Amino acid sequence: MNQKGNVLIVDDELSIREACRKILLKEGLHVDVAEDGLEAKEKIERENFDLVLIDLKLPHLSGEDLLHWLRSFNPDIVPVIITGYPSFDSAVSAIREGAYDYIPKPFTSGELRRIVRRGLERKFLIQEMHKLREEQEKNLKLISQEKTKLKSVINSMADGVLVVNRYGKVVLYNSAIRHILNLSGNCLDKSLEEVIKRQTLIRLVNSQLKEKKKKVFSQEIGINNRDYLVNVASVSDNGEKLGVVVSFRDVTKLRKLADMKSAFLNMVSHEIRSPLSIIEGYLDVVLKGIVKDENQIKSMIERVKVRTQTLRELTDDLLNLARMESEKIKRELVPINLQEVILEMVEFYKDKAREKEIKININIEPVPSIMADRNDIALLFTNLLDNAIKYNVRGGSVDIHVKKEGFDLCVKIKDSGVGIPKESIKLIFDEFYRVKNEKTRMVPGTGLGLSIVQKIVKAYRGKIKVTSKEGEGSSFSVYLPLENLCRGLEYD
Amino acid sequence: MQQKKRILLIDDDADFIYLNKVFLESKGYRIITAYNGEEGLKKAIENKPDLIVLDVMMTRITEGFDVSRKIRMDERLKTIPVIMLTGIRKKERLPWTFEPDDNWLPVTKFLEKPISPQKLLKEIEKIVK
Repeated sequence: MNQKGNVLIVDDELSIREACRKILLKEGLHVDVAEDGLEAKEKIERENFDLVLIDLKLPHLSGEDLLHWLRSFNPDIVPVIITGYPSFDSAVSAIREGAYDYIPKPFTSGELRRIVRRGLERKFLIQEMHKLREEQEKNLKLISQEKTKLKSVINSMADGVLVVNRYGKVVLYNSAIRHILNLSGNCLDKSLEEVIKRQTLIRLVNSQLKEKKKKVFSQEIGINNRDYLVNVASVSDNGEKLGVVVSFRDVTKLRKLADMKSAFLNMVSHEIRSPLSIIEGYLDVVLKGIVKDENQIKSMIERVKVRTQTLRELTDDLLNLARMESEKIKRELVPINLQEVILEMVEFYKDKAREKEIKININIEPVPSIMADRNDIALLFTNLLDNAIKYNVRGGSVDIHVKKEGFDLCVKIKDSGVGIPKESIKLIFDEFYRVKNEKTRMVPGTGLGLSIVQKIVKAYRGKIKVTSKEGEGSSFSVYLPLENLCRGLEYD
Repeated sequence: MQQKKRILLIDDDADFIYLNKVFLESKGYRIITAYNGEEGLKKAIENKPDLIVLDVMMTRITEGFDVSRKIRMDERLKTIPVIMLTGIRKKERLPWTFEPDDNWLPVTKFLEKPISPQKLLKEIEKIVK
């Protein structure tokens, strides 16, 4: 657009048209002329004018009608009326109709320039205003887009978010919190007490609202059978407290884990305390000379040895688990002849098996030797055989079968023991889990053996299958992929 | 000479029985032993001991608990004092109280395991002497 201005002169008198044209051209404006209302209309429709000078007395279409049409066609174009003395009243009414200004005939070039300049300034002001308004609208749109974005982000969060202003009214919340607190309906502008019916939470928020220092209040709160870590942080602007942000993080799993750990610690301390007290008691009666019979002393010392051994097994398990849980462990992969390992292991458990009159049957088919860490393999099968004997019945049996199955090496250890209840099978690999019933209650154990087994099998990219029937026995089949046993391994 | 006081130890931990039998015998008691509730009740009726020391958790978690009630309901046994032992700690929240009570936990004394033979002896002396 021509910033200096585009002007149309509408007058039926040629002399006035031309005079005006010359004056305005000298001003550096773009000027066009029309000699009647219809021509003017055509030109205005075709071209962009900033200002139109309209003589009120026009043939075909009167100045008033042209003005009227112009106002509805484009209200931004500035109309200025040219009028002779006799039609001064109509000039006044034209202004009422929306003309910006008028210039009475005869006029000087100075008057024309002044009035046109003023009219154009107005036009440019209008333009500027439009531009500003557009920008404002654009900004508003952007803001609302940002708002929408923020809203979707907050709503997509898994954590529940609730913002309360300094008067304790809810000003923002997301969908997660709806779910967590079972909210229904619109909660905006409602007081916290109306929205949350939990005194602990209300107290926590209120104490943060009153808190002068900048710090985050945290508390674990149980809501509908789940545990949430609730953080209450203050929102301030230039040191002035505006409100608080309350976030809810579901820590049910973590809590469960923590509970399991403390239950485990409780169990470990119990498992350690009982044998220690027995050991202490035996040593005490021997040292104080309460028992004097040589054979009795000997049998007591033997019992001390057994209980000490159990304790050592417990610490071994704990250490093995800690080893697995610590960062990637170093493995020394060496060729291992499984037949040797199994036979060695069975030899080691011979006494334990004989004690319970358990028969161990071994069936080892020819299999290639495998590349593995000796500790891992020993730990893996020792744990399984130990369970097979521990949870077996007096006079029962354990069958060990080693074979190649497809690309896997398969070791199956089957016992005729107490079996695993159906609902417990999927839990037995969980750390600290132990089947608790009258048959297993007195069997010592840490609940860690099978976790260790599973971690090892996973490290070798193998799998483990369990079948069991209560009262009949259990069978654990370990599949280790032969080709993977040569590659680098690591724990998850 | 005064006749030896007879104590029946009922516990499934063979070491606990062995150790306390040796210790208490050295202190002048006669010890009868049983490794489960059923055997315990049978031996109680046979021997009419002066005191029964009973573990709660044996084959079943509440075995000792049931035994203590049976003792109180049996005309032949109901006057025999009972010391009950358990390794379960209070915070593990079991469906029974740990305060001796005629109906709920009809025992004379309730003690937590592990317990040393000396400490057990002290408690026994309080009741039997």
